[in-house]
Formats: sequence, structure tokens, C-alpha cells
Amino acid sequence: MPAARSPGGKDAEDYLPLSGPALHILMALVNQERHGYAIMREVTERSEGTIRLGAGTLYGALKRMLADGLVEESGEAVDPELDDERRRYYRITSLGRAVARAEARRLAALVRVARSKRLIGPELA
Amino acid sequence: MNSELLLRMLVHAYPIPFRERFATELLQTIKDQRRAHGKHGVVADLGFWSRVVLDVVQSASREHVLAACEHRRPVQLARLAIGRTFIAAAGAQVAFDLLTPELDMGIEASLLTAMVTLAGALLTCRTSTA
Repeated sequence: MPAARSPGGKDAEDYLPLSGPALHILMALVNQERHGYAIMREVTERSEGTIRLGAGTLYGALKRMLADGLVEESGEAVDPELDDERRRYYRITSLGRAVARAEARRLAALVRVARSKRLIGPELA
Repeated sequence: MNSELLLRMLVHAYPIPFRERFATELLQTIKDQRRAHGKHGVVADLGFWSRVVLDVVQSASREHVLAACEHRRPVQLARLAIGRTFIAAAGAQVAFDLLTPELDMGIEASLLTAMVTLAGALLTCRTSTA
């Protein structure tokens, strides 16, 4: 399977290392499309409250990720859990998925190095 | 001044192209956050709005830096960033005063807020006409 590339011909590895907000946004979109507030909520819940994206930080990151082709808009819809306002939804692209996978592998390699140097124990999930 | 008006003022700190694309979503998302935050008293509300204002100031400054780098006007960038930061800081001070009327900061604080606002407006206007 050919590697996903951006319109400018960049490989997934060319986007590494990802910024914190970008990685968390991609992780939030891996399994489903979400609107902005749902992305923020997913990041907070998954990190058990340790990471809270501000709205300005979120949309600044989304702007750059849209330009880089890591995410794309998937239309507008109402979120019945909130109210009857239409919200713009975002989804991850194949390039975004490849970049997220590459970043996860990079971080996993860092964890292996930390374990080998006994900075962390093997019990860390 | 209600929170809706304050939010629209804050969003005005962003560059025009960013506002045109994301202002509606920004306002919607901050309102969603506010709804989820609920009512917890003055101190908790102050903490919530402080985080919102700080995030807007940081991200708006970043967007202005990026926009100016695209157009390679560093002096104009510096003036605009400083001017907008002054205006945002003055807006935060006004918000604080409105949310905590029992905390009378005195005439000195009001004068300082007015001076910071004026300085920010002058820097921004000079940038616009430069």
C-alpha cells in the first residue's frame, strides 16, 4: 500500500514531531467524526482531566491541520446531546491517520528507551 | 456587558481571515464549555473566564505572528501583537471588574486600564495606517 502523502508530496514522517494539540486532535478523530467541542471533551476525558484544550488553541491547530491535509471537514449537523444548533464536523484523512500512527510509533520508541534507562518501570501502560 | 458581548470582543482579537473562518465555531464552543462548566460561584467563574481569556490572548497572538510571517512585516507584526495584547488585557480587566463588583480595585486600576486600552488602540491604528 503506497504511503499517504500530502498534496505537497510530504510523507507522514515529515510532519513529526507533532505538537501536543495536533496529536490529541488526531487521536480524538481516529474512530469517529467530531465537532470542535466534542474533540475538546474527548481529549479531556481520555486524559482524565490532565489535558484541556482551549477553544483558541483547538481552532488554531485545526486551521493548520486542514491546510496540511491531516483533517478535513465532513459537513454540518446537529448534535442532539447539546442543542439544536448546527455544528461543523471534522474527520481524519488517510494522511492524518498515517501521521498519527507514525507519531505513536515514535513515542513508543521513546518509552522503550526510557524503560531501558530505568526512568520508568515496565508496569507503565 | 454580558458574556456574549465579551466573547465577541475577545474573538475580535484574531486576524480577519481566522475570524471569518472560525469565529462562529469559536463562540459556539466557548458557550458549550460555559454550559458544561455550570454555576459554581464567583471564584470558579473567574477561573473559567481567566482560562478562556488567556487561551484567546495566546492563540490570537500566535495567529498574528503566523500571518505576519507570511507577509514578512516584522515591525508591523510587533506593533499589532503588542497593541492587540494590550487591548485583550484591558478587556480582561474590565471582565474581572464586572464579575467581581465587590472587589473595588480603585481609581488607579481604572486609569491603568484606560491607559493600556489607549496604548493598544494607538499601536493597532498606527499599524493599520502604516
